[in-house]
Amino acid sequence: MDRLNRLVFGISPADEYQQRTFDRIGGRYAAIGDLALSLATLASVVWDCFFYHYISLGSWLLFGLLAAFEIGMIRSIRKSALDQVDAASEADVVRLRQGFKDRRFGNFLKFTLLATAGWLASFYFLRDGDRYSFNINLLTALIPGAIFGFFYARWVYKNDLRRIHRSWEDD
Amino acid sequence: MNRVREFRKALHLSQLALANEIGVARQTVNLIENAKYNPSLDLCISLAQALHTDLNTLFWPPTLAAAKEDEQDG
Repeated sequence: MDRLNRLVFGISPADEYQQRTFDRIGGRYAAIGDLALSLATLASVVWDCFFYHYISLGSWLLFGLLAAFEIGMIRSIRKSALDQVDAASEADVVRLRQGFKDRRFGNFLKFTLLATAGWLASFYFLRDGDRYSFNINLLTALIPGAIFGFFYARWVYKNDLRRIHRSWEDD
Repeated sequence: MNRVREFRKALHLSQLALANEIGVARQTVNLIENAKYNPSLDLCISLAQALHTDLNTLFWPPTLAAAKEDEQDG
């Protein structure tokens, strides 16, 4: 269960308070629900691509539901500070910031590749449909992928910075 | 209000150091000190042991503790 929580929400309750809070915001079932919803959305999109060559309303609805669900969970996790990273000193803050900064470029590459692959795959499978009949090449797929990768990596980085908590201020 | 902060400070421990000693997140220690979270009995015992005191001293409200002592004396 811990591995599932870490996989889906990137956190794993460290003690009884965090476990109780995580359970209160529905974490235990939310991880399973999120995974099930993600698989259902993926299955629906794959089904649409192979059999209809367009994204059906059902898939869009599932996608919207998944997005709303994940945004809700992320907000609850933030609100209860379950994603907080404690820094013991100012030097620790600098070290953590540097760590997050170092991860930024890797994230950019990862998100760009994923977005480009997804974008290309969707055009490849939807190419026979009436609504998506125009051609696409690697460059026109890479540019939107890189734009998405840049902004998403930036959002992750800013979110990571927000997670750092100067713990000595509470002492 | 409990006396966790008072005892922690007397031992010159940071919240993070105390949290590491009893195996919880620092956030939990902070919430307990500010009476925003009711810890389990196990955690209370761990806290009392780490702070070299007992549960009554740490968590029993002073007025109630004094009344109980008076009752026992009288």
